[in-house]
Amino acid sequence: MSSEAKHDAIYWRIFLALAGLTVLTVAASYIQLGHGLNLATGLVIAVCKASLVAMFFMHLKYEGALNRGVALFPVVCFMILAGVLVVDLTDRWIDQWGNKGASHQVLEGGGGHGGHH
Amino acid sequence: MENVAVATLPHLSAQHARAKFGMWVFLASEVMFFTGFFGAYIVLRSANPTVFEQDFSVLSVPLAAVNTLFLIASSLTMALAVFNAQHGDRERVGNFLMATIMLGCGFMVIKTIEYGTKFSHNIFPSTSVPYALYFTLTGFHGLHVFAGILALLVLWGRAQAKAAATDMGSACELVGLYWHLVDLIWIFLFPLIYLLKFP
Repeated sequence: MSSEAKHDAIYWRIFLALAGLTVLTVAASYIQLGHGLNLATGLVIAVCKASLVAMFFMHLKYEGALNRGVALFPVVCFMILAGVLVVDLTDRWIDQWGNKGASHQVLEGGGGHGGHH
Repeated sequence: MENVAVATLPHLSAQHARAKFGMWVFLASEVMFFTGFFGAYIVLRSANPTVFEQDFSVLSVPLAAVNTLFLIASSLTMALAVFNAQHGDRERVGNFLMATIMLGCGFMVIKTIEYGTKFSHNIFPSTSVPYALYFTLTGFHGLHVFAGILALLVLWGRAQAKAAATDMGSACELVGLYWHLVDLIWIFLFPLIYLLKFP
């Protein structure tokens, strides 16, 4: 709490970092790195930005274990959900690549805008 | 006098600590609310990447990038408002709150332009699954921005009325936490909807 309580300069520095990362993530999206690497880059930058906001703007860095735990709880829940989904979907992708006829095109016939017509 | 001390040193106030804990629980529930949509995003997008690629390619990256900068700047002014509230500088609190409100309104104006362009091109939530997801995610996020602006207006009004110096710092920090979360969710929506190309 000591240095943070006296100076607001830290907030300006965090803002500059966030703006810089925003420019970086837009620029990176125009470079073809392969879809896995593009996705990873976008997500890593987003996680960095989110951490800066949570730690400094939301003062999580200076919070006690209780509030930190409450903040972390939905993040863990999300990671469990995303993890289980990716495991399930990877299985389907392999199936899709293996047998093109048996693809899991959930959207097919649903919208009419999908370019299947 | 005791109240002034509470406003200046919020970490000494047990009441504020409980209020802040309550706000964190609420924010956790908000993250869970959006987690459901992100789950839908993962399933639907990976099920048919080419349709998403095609539909999302018409979304405006420049508008979304400007909106990202608006929200980041509004998070800065919000943090500065909280900082000044906790240091008893009421006038600067009012100014920074107004700056935050203006930036939030700027976000909503751009979002309205974006939606207007989509509607004029006959793109609606019912047009396709990707657009349904796009409107649902950005729409609910926009609603949160709108709610944040309302809360900020109430707070700004209290700063102008010079009412209850006691809990200005506390109320400011609680609304600030909510506002930062809205920014935080956009930080993920921006790359996932506007930037990333999968196939």
